[in-house]
Amino acid sequence: MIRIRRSLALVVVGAAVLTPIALTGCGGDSTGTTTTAASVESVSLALDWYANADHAGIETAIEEGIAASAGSNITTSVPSDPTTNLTQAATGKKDLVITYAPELLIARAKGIPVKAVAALVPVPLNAIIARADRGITTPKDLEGKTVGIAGVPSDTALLDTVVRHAGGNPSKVRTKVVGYSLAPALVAGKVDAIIGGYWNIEVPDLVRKGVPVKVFRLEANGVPIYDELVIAAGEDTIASRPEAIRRALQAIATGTGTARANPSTARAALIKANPDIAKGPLAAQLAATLPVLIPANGKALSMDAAQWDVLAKWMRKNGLVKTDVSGAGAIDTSLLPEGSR
Amino acid sequence: MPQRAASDITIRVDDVRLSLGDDPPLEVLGGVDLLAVAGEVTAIIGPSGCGKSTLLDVIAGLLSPDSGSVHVDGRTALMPQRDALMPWRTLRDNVAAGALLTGVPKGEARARADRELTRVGLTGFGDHYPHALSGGMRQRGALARTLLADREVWLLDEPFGALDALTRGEMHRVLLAVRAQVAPTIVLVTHDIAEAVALADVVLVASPGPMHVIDRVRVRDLGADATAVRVLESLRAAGVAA
Amino acid sequence: MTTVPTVAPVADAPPTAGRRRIRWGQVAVGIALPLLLVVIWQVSASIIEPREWILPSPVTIARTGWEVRDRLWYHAQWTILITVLGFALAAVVGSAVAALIARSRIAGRLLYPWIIVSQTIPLVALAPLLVLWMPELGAMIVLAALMSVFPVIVAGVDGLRGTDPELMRAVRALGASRGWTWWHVRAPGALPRLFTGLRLAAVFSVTGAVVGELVASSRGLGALTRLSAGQFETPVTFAAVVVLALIGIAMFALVTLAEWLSLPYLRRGTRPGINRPTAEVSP
Repeated sequence: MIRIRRSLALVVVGAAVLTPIALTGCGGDSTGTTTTAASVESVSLALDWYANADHAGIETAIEEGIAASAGSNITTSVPSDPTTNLTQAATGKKDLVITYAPELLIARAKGIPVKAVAALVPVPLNAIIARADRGITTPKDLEGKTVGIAGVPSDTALLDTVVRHAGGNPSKVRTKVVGYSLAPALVAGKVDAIIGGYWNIEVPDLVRKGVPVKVFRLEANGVPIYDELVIAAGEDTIASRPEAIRRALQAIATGTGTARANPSTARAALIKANPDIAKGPLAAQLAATLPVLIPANGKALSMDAAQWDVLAKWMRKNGLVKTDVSGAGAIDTSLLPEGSR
Repeated sequence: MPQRAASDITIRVDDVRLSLGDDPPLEVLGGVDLLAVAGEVTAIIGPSGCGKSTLLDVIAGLLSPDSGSVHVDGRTALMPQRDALMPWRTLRDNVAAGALLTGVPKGEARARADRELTRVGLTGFGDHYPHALSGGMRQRGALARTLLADREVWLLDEPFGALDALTRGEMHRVLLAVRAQVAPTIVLVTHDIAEAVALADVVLVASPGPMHVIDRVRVRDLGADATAVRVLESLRAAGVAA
Repeated sequence: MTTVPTVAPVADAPPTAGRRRIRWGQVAVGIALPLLLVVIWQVSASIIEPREWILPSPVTIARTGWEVRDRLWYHAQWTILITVLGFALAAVVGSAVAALIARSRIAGRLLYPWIIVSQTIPLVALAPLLVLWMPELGAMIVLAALMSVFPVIVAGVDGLRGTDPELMRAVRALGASRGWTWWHVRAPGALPRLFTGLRLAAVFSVTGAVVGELVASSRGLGALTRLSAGQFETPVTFAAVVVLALIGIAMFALVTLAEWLSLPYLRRGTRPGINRPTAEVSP
């Protein structure tokens, strides 16, 4: 008898533990509906990493009071695991998240209800960074060499595309998974090149360290141009809190412009947001990043549907998504500031 | 059977002192004198913790005295109160250990072990592990090992202290029967006066620590009962027994 | 030669040592309980229908696991290899270090701080560095071993230091040398405790392998967890976790089996003397 009672207790506990987990799956109901705009709309924004030069526009908007003037209270956070950003957005745990265009398309192919609402960085930052002292002058020279990778499938596809574009055979390129220590691997000379590092963040730092590097930009080597960093939101959040998102994006767009015009202001804002930021290479990183934050057409945060379609097709061709997914359907430009649509 | 002259002195302990420990050192043996005649059983009786076990360790050569001298004519074997057998070996292999140590080949050692087991009444239990045996059987096994090791001197440290009265009686019979065949020199430490009087030729009374001998009685001289009374009186005089 | 009066034990039945009766009742409860939880999980999932990429139902996980079984096996092989080799390395090195520490107090004082330091280094940070400096398989094995060596050392030292003093006394009085006692008394006596450490190490080596793969490998169930999570293939992630659990259980069972085989004296049976009317008296 006691045995059964104990088992029953365990069953009850088990159900109690599992039910909340199951419940989190059922739709991220946001408590708000489209109401009359409040004076200040608060949004949570999950970054992709610790605040760095890529986030100059965001942090400038927050620290310089631009967001406040626009009636937007943006709270940023750094995730322990960036891959959870999109699921957090889909369930409404975070209003806005920063993610990568390829990752967004993969999520949408899986039916996860998220959309890109702005392009934070409208060009690829990912690049193949090779040691200049290994005799690599074109990507074809990577044949027989070792390229350090972080283990992300899209990086491997990008590498293959670049090598093929230069007339090389991708299967002759050796890859080595080095996890997150891409730059240390290159500095130590354990690999001849890396992919997954950013030409605006890692390269200035490597140059400062005195490592001779040769950079192959992706869009110049056969990869369709894509937005490296995008701001995404769950479809439910877009439907229920459009004003909040609109104001936040307006603030970020303005902040980006301010940052571009005042690098020192941007620098100060980033240091305030992330006291641990590496101050040494920061100025050089900002000098590389700020010019590309606003595309040539002057429309900050804007997204190009045609570009997204091309990216989606490239991903399908390279097996990164198993089904056809619409690029244009993955973005929502309705919440962008007037001048950026 | 080995023949020994009754006047042979096998163990001579002369004013042995020993302190153990560090902080502060405790004097355990405070000038112990002991003479054991070959083939005889010398019992040492005294209160618990007075250093009797330490004295056996000294005689066995496991400890060196700080001063005084120890002479032992022959090799020793020691039988503690309990846990003398290795739990991971069968009874037979435990008993054989004594011979294996001196390089006897395994097969022969095992055969000898079986013979000794029969001698102590444990025929057929050679394949058992110690945990499957009762306390009395384990001590008999230890006795068999001591027999097999064929030592001239046996040091028995309260060997039957962990056993109940009935089993203890049986063990006394076993020990006496074995002794009739082999005649080693035995030093028996015990806190049981009846046991001492029943088994020993000579009874020594030990004082509380630092230990020294306060009385020495040859059982044959006084007779069993009178010896027991004298031992009790000596213990009382030392402030031990009630 | 007159034989000693034989005192026959009352129970003459042959011992039943060596055959542990399986208590089927306990086994049933052990299986039924997790099964019940799985059923509740499935039922809740069917009612609430959470998104597959948040919390898949057990049926979905099983189905997906079966569909991608080739992929699972491809990665599982790697993890099993790393786990087994890592465990073996930890067992050997751990035992050796334990022997060293138990034998020499100075060695103990010198080694213990370093051993503890090795345990406080976060493996997640160490993994990428190791992969830089040695071939990937070796790095993974080292990580698995690092994670599982500590219990072996602690248990080994404990076992070697815990030899019964009375036993040592008796054996040494018979003239056994220090070397003999180490090999024939201390070491066998330490085995039960050592096996406790080995059982812990068996499970920890799985964890170590996964952590290493998660961070710095392209193959293995840990890597599969990362890859599938990045692709939002949550059922695959769960399937990988299930396989990992099975590997952990298998490792634990194997070590327990090894213990059962090598320590026959621990298989408790009935005592022939157990029906004797007398009981042992402790002083």
